[in-house]
Amino acid sequence: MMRLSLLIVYLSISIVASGCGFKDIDKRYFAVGMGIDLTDNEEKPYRITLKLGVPSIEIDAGKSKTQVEIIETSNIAEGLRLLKAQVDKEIDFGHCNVFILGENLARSNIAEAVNWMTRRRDIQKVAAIGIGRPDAESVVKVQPVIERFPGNALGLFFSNDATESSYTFIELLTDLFRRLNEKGLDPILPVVMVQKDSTYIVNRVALLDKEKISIVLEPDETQLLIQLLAYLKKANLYGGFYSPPFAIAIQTIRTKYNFQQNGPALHLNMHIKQAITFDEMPTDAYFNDPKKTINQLETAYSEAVKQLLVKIQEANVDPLGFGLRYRAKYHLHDFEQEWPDIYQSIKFDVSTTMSVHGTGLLK
Amino acid sequence: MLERLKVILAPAEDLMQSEIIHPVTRQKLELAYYLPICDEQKIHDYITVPFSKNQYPIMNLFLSNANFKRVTDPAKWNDLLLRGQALVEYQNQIFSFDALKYEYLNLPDSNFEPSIRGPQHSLSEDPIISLNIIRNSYMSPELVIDKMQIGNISQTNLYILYDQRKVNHHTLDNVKNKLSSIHIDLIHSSGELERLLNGKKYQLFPTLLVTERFDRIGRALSFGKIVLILKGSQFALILPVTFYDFMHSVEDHYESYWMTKMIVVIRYIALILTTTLPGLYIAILSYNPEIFRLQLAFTLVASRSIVPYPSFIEVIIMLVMIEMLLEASIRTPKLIGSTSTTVGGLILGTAIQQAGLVSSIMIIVTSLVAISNLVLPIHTMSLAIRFLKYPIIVAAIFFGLAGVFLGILYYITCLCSTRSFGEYYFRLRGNASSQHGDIGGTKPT
Repeated sequence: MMRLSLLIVYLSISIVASGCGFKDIDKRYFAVGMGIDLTDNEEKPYRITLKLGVPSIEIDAGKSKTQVEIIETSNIAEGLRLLKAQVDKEIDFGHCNVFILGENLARSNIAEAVNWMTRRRDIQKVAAIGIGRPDAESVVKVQPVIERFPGNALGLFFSNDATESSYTFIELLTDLFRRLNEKGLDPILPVVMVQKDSTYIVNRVALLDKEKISIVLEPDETQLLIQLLAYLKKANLYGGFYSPPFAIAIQTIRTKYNFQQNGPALHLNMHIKQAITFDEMPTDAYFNDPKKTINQLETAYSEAVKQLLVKIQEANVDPLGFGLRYRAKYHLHDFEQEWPDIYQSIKFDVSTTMSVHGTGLLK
Repeated sequence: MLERLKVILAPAEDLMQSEIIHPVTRQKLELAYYLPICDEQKIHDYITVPFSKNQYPIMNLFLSNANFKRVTDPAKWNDLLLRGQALVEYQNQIFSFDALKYEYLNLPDSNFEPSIRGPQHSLSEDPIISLNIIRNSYMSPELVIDKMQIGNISQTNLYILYDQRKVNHHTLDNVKNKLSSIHIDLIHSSGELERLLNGKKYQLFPTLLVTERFDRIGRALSFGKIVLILKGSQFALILPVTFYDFMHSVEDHYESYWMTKMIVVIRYIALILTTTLPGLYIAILSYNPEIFRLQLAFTLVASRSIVPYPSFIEVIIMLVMIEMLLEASIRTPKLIGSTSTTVGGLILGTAIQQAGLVSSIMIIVTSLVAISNLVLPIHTMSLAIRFLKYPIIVAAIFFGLAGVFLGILYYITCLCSTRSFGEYYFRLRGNASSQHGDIGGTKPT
């Protein structure tokens, strides 16, 4: 009994103290966006742009208030420590779900920045990563007029909660880390651009040769690539395909491919199966000869895909993970030495099967 | 007849068997009936008094009175006795006499565990009346009623009820041993008995169920449980119990299937909420604010920014207040009771938030904790659960979210190691027998 009462006394005294991670929510600043740029200064190569959300009870369009802090530093972690001396509250990355890397950084080396992100405890591994064009600072600094609360607008771009564009590729930190480290799989990052100083546009992807940008795809190529990746099984709608005078909406898509050694040449046979509906078509064109129409569309789609694959091949990047599949099937003594040559020699054969789920019309 | 009855029937304390021998004529009459369900006065008036006066040949009475019926088939004895008939043997002839008594009028209303469509009455403080209702509703020859005395001075009658075919005899011996080892001078309520039987002093969860409802007792008997009824107490004890029995209300069997199933799920949600919510509030606000959406985080920040103290002081203020409110409303007379809740809950709650002592989210948390606690159907369990949130709060103050989950883990471990009279307390399937190699299995004796 004596011991119990002593224990109670100890506990009630120690309750006044608390754990060392204890920091009340109102003593924290929530970072809602972060940009990392490369500067010309050799001693302080990084410029960190941090957007801090200013909390307010009013949540309404245009009521979002933020504070932007910029610091130039020799490395990222050190920069944040310096930044802490500039703000009165603890900086918390727990709600920072978008990280923007400047284009000049992405053109030199993103490995260090990604490494820092994966190491830091309070950065969520489901945070989205993008490339800011022309630089990260200008993207992070933008304050969209219709934003409801700090950092919301850019965050919604990179989640499936709100807009689901077939042009927007979402790359999360976990996947980026994997793509950076896996042999035979290269990173893809969406490119975020600022439009009229107040809104964003995210309809391009940059393909990286592990650590730096090798090629930036155009919007229609981006859409096609996202369809091919198709592991983003977020919804049934995988965007469309435009081949005048038809515009089709792809409802479901399944991509299969395998390697085939035909003599000296290595062939990659890709087969794409789609269920489609028509967005636009000339009246009666389909109804007069459905088979021919579908054949034309299939050929057009295959051709577009093949062009894209060749373009990616020429850029010598491998976002679709052909190398990884090859590693799984064939043994190579030194993958990193041998694979580039094999990749360059691959011939692509693409075939498409479209099945019409609906014409969009009642006849 | 009596010899044969002993063979057929369970050895019940309430089965009256008597052999009356007339002092003058030396004639013998054998009489058997269940005491609680028979009207003794009637038996007196019709059988024993006429027999002893011997003014009129008793055989003629048996044969002429329509209340007496001749029984030829011994297989029916059982049934007749359980239906409130008295059996009489006289000159090798057996008669049944209808003396059924059903005492439902003398019962108090059920206040403690009210039900909408179930029986509206609770146990009586007179154990004979209670046993009458139980015998009437659980008409099985297997129902055994044992009697013993507890209390050196009070010598209070205690009735032990069980279905002799379904009960676990190991548990029964265990309970009887425990009861006979109790040394106490006076005993007034079954709550006292509950404490004495509970065994461990620092037990977190109740290991026997206190009830005032007949339907619950009947159901418990049919599941092979033991029911204790103490003279002078409106509450019976049911044991052994599992944790899930406490989450179950008798109403679950009376109302629409899907809704009652959903209510059971809601009870478990309420259980989790009421234990963890205050701890989670501290952990999320002060350690891991990234759990929620950013939107909610900003609202939390805004509502908390007026509060000068750290989150746990806020939580402690509010919880102490709500405990005092609950305690006050139990003790106050019913007329004032509603006033105190209104004053405390509404006025104090609003004022304390406007004064900036606690945030508005904390008001929501507090009321949710209080409400979800009241969702639990059994009062003893809801009291035990009410305590559980405090250790979790302490853990949350020091270790954040990890502390909350550590606390839950500790409670689950506690539940798993608890035994209710040798039987598993936290076992999902009730009837599984323990196997060799079971973790934490009960010792076979």
